[in-house]
Amino acid sequence: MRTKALLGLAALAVGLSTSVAQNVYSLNVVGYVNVSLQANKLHFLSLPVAPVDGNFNITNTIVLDNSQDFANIYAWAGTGWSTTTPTWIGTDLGGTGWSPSMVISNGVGFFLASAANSTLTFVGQVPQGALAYNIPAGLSTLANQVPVSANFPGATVGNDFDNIYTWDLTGQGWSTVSWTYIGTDLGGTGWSNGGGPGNNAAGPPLNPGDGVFYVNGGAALPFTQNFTVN
Amino acid sequence: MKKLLGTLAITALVASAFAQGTITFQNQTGRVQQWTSPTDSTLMSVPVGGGFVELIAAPAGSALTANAAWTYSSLAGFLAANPAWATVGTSSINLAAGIFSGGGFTIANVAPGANASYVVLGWTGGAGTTWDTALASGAMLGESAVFTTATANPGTTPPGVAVNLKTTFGGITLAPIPEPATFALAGLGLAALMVFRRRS
Repeated sequence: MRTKALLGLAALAVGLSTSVAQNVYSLNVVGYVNVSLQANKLHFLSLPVAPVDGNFNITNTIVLDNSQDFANIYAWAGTGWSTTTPTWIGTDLGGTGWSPSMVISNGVGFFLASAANSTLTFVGQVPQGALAYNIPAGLSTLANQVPVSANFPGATVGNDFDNIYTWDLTGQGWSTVSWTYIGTDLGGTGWSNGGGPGNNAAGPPLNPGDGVFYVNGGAALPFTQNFTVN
Repeated sequence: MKKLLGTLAITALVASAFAQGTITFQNQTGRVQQWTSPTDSTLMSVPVGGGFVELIAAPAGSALTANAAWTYSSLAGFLAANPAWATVGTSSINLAAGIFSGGGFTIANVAPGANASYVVLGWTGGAGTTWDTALASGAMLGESAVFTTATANPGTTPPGVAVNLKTTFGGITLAPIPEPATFALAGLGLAALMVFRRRS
């Protein structure tokens, strides 16, 4: 996925909240991430920022325009893709947006079937602090909760022989190059794509708004990501 | 090794749990239209809440007694005459006038990833109306042409995303269906006409 503009740190707003009693300062960073959408293609996305009001309903987090009439969202529902398929019906067709609505959290991936070439702008705040993840046993989707370009989920997150699949936007299928976790107990260093381009023990390189498909052959994997904007 | 076996077991479990083709029952350019009234054939989009559609499907290429569903006394009777076909799911007209979205369905009689033939039946009516009740009440009915779609294979890893019918569905028109008594009267009229012409 091509991400043209990253965070407009302080571009929209920078809030400084102060806890006087404890004399602790936290910087609330609000911004946006633009993601390019291509007509009639499936994009595997995630929320790169969190909604300021905490409302993760897609009517609040994924806002399209009339050019995207009949765009669809396919979300993961634990063991398969949800049979509930939100469809974007704009005001030109008498609609009000996504129908039905759905809640999608950050840290997970979902498909968006785009109807037109356009730019999707995610607006929200950058999650900070100790960010909790839990990769369940079995199949799931996964994404970075924060809007950074980085290898994910990290060299220490994985069960031996777990797999990660990335989406090939051009080929409209899962990349033929998958990632496998081989831990130090087996002489490995973490994630590997078999020595292909971009091989990195921390996992595949993700841009803000990307998601991956995770196959966990072992136990659930809770982990914490510490992230702070300085 | 145990982890590898675990992964394979999960994959097999998922594959067996969803071992049929999946689709998303939705339309786009092919709208659901109806006569403006039983005596006015001017077409209008079926309003939201004003009708239903039902998807029936079969393995691609299956024979179908086309454009005749309403000549049977029930949907079950129609399907009994077309044994390769089965009901898949229904939806109300729920997104906008003439536009529906019923969500994802598994086509039980089509192999995962295989092509399917499908037909959409439609009828006018409010909440709870079925094809059979619409047929009995004289509602407007319709049967689409036969379309073909690919289906997704949810048994692969990662699972395939359900194929949306909005790209292949060509639309449907709901119209008043003449009652059997009407057919009988028309037949009597024709017979009388033939007798009259023979005498003259």
